[in-house]
Amino acid sequence: MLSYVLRRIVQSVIVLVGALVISFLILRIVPGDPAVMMLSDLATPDEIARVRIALGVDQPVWIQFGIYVKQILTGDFGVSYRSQTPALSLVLGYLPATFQLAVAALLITIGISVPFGAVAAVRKGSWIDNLLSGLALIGQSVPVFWLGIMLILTFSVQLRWLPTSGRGGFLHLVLPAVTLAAAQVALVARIMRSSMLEVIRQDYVRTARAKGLSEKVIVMRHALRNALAPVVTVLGLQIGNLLGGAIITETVFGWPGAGNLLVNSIGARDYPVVQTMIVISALIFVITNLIVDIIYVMLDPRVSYD
Amino acid sequence: MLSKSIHALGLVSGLLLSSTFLSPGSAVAFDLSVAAGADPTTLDPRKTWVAQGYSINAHVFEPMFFRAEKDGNVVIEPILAESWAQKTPTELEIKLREGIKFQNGEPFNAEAVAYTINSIQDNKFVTNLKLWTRDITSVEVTGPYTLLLKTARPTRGLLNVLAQVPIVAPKAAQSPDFEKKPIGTGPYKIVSYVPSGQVVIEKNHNYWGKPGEADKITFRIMPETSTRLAALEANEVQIADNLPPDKLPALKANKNLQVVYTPTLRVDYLVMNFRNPLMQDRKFREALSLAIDRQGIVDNLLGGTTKAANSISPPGTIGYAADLPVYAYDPGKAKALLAESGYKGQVLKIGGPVGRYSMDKQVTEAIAGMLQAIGVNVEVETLAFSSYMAKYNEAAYDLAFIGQTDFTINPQKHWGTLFQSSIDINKYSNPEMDQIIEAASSELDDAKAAELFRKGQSLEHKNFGGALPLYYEPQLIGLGSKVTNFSPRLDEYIIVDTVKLKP
Repeated sequence: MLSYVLRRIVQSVIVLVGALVISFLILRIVPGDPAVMMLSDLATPDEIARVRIALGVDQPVWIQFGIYVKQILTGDFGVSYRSQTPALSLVLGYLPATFQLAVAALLITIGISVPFGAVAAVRKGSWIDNLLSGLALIGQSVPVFWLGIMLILTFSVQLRWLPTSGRGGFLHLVLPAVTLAAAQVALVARIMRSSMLEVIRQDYVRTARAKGLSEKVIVMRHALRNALAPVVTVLGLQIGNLLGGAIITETVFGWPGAGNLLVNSIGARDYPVVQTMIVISALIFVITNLIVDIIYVMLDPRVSYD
Repeated sequence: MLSKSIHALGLVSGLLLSSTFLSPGSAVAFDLSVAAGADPTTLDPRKTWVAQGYSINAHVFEPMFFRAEKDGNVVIEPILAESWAQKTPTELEIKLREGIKFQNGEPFNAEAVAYTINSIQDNKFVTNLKLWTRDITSVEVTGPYTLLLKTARPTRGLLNVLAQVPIVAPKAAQSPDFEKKPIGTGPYKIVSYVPSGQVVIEKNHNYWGKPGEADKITFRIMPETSTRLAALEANEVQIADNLPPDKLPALKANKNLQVVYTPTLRVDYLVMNFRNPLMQDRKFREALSLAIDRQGIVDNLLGGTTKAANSISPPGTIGYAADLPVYAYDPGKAKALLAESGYKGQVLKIGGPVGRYSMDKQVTEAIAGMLQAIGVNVEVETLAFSSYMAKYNEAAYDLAFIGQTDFTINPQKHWGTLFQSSIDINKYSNPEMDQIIEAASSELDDAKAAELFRKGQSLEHKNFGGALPLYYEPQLIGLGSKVTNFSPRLDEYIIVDTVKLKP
């Protein structure tokens, strides 16, 4: 196990370096100029040139890359062009809001999709199963943007139960978390259902039944645990989506998270901030997948990485 | 349209009222919330370059001079300055108001002004504000409350550019906290700032001028238009900025809301690229202009919230030629001129941004359709603003949509990049226009400058050079039904210190 983890950490570093290089290059290939975005349209070409020098974007790309690598190695992610403050602390300041939203959405996803997916599988073909399939279809096809606005209009404007937007207490979290979770719930519930269907056809479930165990014990103790393995894998991958998909949700709900920062920073061609965010996202992705693989072993002792 | 009252900046009328007259608590206390469409990014007013940042800062900081509106014209009034005198054509003496303190107790004086300007001009300090201070060669502190600003040559509109320079407290400005908790002299001070979340400001009880009305103002950042509207409808906010004209019918239909709108100092242009030889022909340019139904765009795409352009200058600026007729729409004549110009069906590339100006994408596409209707072959490209500006600056389009505003109300500034051959990236060159802009830039006499500006407007009205003005960018603001005493401003700032709420 330990050697596996070490191997994975080495792989993770390679992934991170790849993310760093690719993000650096893509940002330079996409048309755009931070100096132009920062100055108003009244700036003369000479003034634009001076700001380019001050920001260091007048240098050839490979020199900029060299400076960037040197910075990263010293734990310095550069200075945001837009706010002229260190990019790393800027990004870290936005992360708690993003995590709060992602965790809330994840809890909703697990809390709804696992039991409902399992019930749908056990009662295959019943009205509950059909209802859940229908809801899952809707959940996956409704655009996040539209769902968010509809929830705001219903619960904030008409009923006035919940605030329209912003980050504050628990009530502020409800609508954005539900919006963000909707598509995930649909996806995970369907995977849970098919995984459960697969499991309850297995020999050991038949054996359990033959032993005379109650249906409840069979489902809860034998089937569920085994059916969860693919769900955990998907959830691990979805964490990346929760952080990425949060961009639209954060915009609709004025949620002060990293998605908002990313959109604004790309718009302003604030390279240091975008690069920092990509490296941190890659890091989170790599770590969650590592954790998922470890949970896998715990769920299914037959899996071994040695 | 709501008639616009003169926006009595609290600061200006404050001269007449002693602050002891209106002691805190004498009025009914209330808080105000404003839905702002974008994060200010930084609260250091020397670094701001986001519209919402300018608006928020205007409550916390004060410049030496600021814009006010009188009878539809923008005028410059002293705020932290008391008087000024042009000592020589290149030397401006400014006498500051005495007895003012910054919100942290630091004294406001000539040193603070010199510090602010010098810090902006510092090579290491990256800021958009350098555009406004570029003409100042030195700042001399000649007394505790007097300064001498020197310029390399006579410079028109120096007071006006100083309106873009909010004075910061020197000691506080050197602390790293200044980004989030900056200190000015204004009627409000910063309480807290959550980036992309909200900015909370509260009344500065030691303010030297007329205090603001609301005790606390929260600017909530809501990038999504529908959310700003929903928050307004739910009465979570009382004012919502930057609403698109296509929401006008919904806003008007809602009895619980008010809507105000105004044309602004921003002129929306179709910029012509003179690298394309076709553009060198005046007949071809006139044909393009005649093909565009400006009034149709204003009525149908912009909901009648603004007016079609009659000039390359916006109303309210110095020397604006109100008497020029709106640029004509005559597709029949346009076709005839096109035939005369010898146009052979070459494809023109039209570019426009998405979501930067009111209905910009739709307007760009509508214009492309209008040009096609007279027989011009066009290829349209609309891009996100950041990608669009990169291509705009490379002069990648034959025709490009852009909105330009000039806070200094002296149009030579915003004319420069479109009509002056030395800096126009689209290579328009007209010696007569060059000479007008050059002369106006160093003309210190207002009447003579106004005459030059009128000359420039009528010249381009006949010549169709540089860029074709389309209309003046509208600004739409939604208000709750209880809001009173709010006026939209020509400079697009949203200043709410005078706003009151009906009981």
